[in-house]
Amino acid sequence: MTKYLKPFRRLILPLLLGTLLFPFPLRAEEAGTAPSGEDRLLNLETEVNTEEWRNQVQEKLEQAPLEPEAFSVTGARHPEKVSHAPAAVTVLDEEDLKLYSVGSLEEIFRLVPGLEVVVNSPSYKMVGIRGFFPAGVNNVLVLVDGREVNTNFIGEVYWDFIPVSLDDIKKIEIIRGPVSALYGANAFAGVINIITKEPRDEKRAEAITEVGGYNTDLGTLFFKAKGAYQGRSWGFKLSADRQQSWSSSVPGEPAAEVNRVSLKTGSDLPHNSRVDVDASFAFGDSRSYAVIGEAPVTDILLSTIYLHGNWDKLNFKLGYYRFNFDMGLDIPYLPPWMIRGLFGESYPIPASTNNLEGGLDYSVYLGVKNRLTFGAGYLLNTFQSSALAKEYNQEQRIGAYVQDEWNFLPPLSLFTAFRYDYNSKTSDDYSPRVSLVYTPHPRHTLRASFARAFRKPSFWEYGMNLKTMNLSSSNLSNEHINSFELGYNSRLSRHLSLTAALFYNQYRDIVGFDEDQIFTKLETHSDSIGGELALDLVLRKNLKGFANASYVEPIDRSGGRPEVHLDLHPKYKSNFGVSWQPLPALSLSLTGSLIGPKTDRILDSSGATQEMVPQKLPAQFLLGTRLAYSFFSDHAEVGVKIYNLLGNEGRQYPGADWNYDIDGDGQAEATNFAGEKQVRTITGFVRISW
Amino acid sequence: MRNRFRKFSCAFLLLALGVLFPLSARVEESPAVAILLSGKQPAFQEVAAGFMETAREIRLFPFELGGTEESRGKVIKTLRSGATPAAIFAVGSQAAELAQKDFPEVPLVFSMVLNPEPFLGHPNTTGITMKIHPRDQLQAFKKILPRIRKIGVIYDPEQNRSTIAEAQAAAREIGLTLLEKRVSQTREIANAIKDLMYLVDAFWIIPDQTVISKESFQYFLETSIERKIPLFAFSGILVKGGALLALAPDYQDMGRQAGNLTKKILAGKSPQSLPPLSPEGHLVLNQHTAQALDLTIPPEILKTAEKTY
Repeated sequence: MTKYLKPFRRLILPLLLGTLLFPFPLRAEEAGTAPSGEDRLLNLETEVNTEEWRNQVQEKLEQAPLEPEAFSVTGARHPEKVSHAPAAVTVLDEEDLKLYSVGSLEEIFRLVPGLEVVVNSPSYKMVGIRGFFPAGVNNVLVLVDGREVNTNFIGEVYWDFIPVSLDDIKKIEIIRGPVSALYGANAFAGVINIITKEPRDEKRAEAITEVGGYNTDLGTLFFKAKGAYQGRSWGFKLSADRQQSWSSSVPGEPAAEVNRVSLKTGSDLPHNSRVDVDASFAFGDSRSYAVIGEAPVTDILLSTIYLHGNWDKLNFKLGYYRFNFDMGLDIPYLPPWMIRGLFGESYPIPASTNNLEGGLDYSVYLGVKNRLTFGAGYLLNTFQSSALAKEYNQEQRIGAYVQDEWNFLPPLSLFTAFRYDYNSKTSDDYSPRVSLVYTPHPRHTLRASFARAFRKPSFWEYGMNLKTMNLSSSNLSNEHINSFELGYNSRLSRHLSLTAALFYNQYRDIVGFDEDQIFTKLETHSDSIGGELALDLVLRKNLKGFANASYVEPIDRSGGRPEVHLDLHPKYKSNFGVSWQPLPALSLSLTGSLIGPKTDRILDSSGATQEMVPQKLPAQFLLGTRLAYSFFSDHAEVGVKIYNLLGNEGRQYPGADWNYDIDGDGQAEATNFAGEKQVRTITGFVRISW
Repeated sequence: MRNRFRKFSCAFLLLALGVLFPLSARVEESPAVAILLSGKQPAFQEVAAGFMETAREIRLFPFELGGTEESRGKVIKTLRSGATPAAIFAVGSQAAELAQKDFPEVPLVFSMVLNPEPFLGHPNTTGITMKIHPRDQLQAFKKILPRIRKIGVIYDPEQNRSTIAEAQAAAREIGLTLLEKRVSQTREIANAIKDLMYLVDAFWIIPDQTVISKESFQYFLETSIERKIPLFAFSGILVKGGALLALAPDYQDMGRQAGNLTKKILAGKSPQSLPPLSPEGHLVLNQHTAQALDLTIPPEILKTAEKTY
């Protein structure tokens, strides 16, 4: 008898697993006789109309957190609680952006653990994640409503020319760590997703003015006006702003002038659907150093049209942007005499990039335990300039991904994602990610993740071959990162929550300059280890605070330069912030950032030979404060923001006080090669809305 | 409270009399109305009490259907053995089904029927639905919490397609966006809530046969507390059980409405000329929930509430 049963032994394990995954009680309900509708209703009323039920509910109400936990749509490409996301996520909501925005849009990122910001000049700002700094490379993917805003020419983000300002933003989601498995190229060190307000989130009309001073003789002027209309389902908003910044490096005229006009229109559609069309233009000049490859750029015109929305669970996007500019003669690490030799008198060089982007994503439940999300994207990028050996250059990217969220046992969820990317200029790539999220208690969540991601060298690295000289290598392949991460989220009490993450990154296939200052694949390998710890405190609705700290340590694996991806990024950094509203109309906030020492190498061309010399920047403490008073039922607000309250004069970017003759007329137009000294910034603002 | 107790006692007494002395045993007078109750639930008794209060001058013969075919047969037999009633007041869908199937010639007024659509095509049938018109509910939600813009609702299209279509039209009129998720099985509800919970400013639980259960109400409630978004319900008891508010029907009121409708039929109007009525909504609020969700209910709204917990 047993020999006949033997083959069935193989069924025992699948049957046991099946029983665990699809418990019988769920089926039993379907098999039973269904009670009538009113019976179910009356039964429900009977079941909840008990003292025991009410006591349980009362307990839950009393233990409810003072603020709901933030959620993110970026970490898993569908909404997830931050604690349950398959990556380390920070969300800055509208209130955070308002209360802690003591500087510019970018400077608020400095308050996020694991992120660092360098403001080199009024027109050159960089945001780095976990040691990776986008100095000339594209290792942080920045999205606005899902559209990539990294300029593929050099990969960096021109923050001033993003057609949003702080008051347009609904929230910002920041993923620390690689996410190429969902976003493809350049989601390498992390992703910053800026989500803007819909017309229905805006007031009917609003005017904002900010006037600020860098000490006494330098400053900024910002003026913005916007109007919005929201009908039953359709709405639009139109906004226009102008920002001028002055700097000691460009005497006599604004160092940066940016004008932005944007129109956002959208409509709710049946079946939980919505479509939005955004059109924007940003134009101006960046006369201070280093907006593109540390070069002054004038006659910038960035125009964008973007269609996006969803048809129930199908998200779609189609965007086009064109970026025209006249590039000045400064190129990183090349002295003026060499640049004049390269270009002759033909500069500034007109150039343009065109970018066409499309994508589809769909999310569906398979049964009750699996959620499948999949999608595909296409990007066509062109770059043309008369200075190039090949005047017209084109790059195509196609990628497709799939992700499964499998809640195989109630406290355990497994996120598995895989993406394949084709790239016409560098190498094809694949990016897996696995993340196990364990929630042993509703207040505690643990996460273990592995992710592989890639950075596609930018046009600057693989295609910038000038008519007179080669600066790039056409045979570059992608850089890679393997990241191992442990995360912990805890709601310690109604008032206090804690987030911690530990990571170990392996940085491979590094692209950098060779001895001839040409981009090449380096032989060096580099690893890093680090972590972040963050505490959020909500004492009362009107008194909140946060504190966080992060650390990253490079490890040499190949005898090369271990800090290769930690240039500009400090090893340690900590931040704090407190906001208090003693009266409903009065708000006061204080933020502080202690930034550890950092090092970068700059080319010293002051002597007869060119030499890369390290420059160490000491630790800095930046304190900021904001005081605002609103009146006329919140229709008007006045306030003041002070950044770098203690007047720290250190640099955020290494630099040297060289006199610099840009156009060869014998007069110095600038005094800094890069890295302006910091100054105390005092900005007053007035906001009127109705 | 004492009044309510008296009314219940009266309803119980009448029911007991009905069981002890069935229709055939009575002195035959006309017109007479048979009250059919689907079960023993207190809510059915409340409706019957309301009906009796309105129809004092009418001779009433209450019957309670048991859960078995035998007891149903007994009721049918008793009703057929005596004089045919001038109308039947059916409380609950089992009673309405019996009345329409076995006594199609007798005018039927139904009440406490969650899904009345199958009964409405019949020319001899009218009644009081259980659902307050979605427009009235949405208007109340908007009035009490003007900042609410997107409301999430989960329903089974088999049960509530027309209700949601009405709600969508009303939401557009009022300036609200109704985000809906369709489910066909109870076990799909958790994922439907997950899909909506980050998109909406409030949840609205409607009396949908597939959706309503203790487990799903608990999940709605926990999500509401976790996300700090209001949960609108359809019943005062659910508000007592943790939902923020409801524009809820009063069961005795529904009985009274049915009594008035029956009187019109007895006066000679045909049921076909009397369209089914929605119950009047009474505002019920839970202040503990409002406090936990950091919501301030204006005092003038609190004053209009029928009941607060």
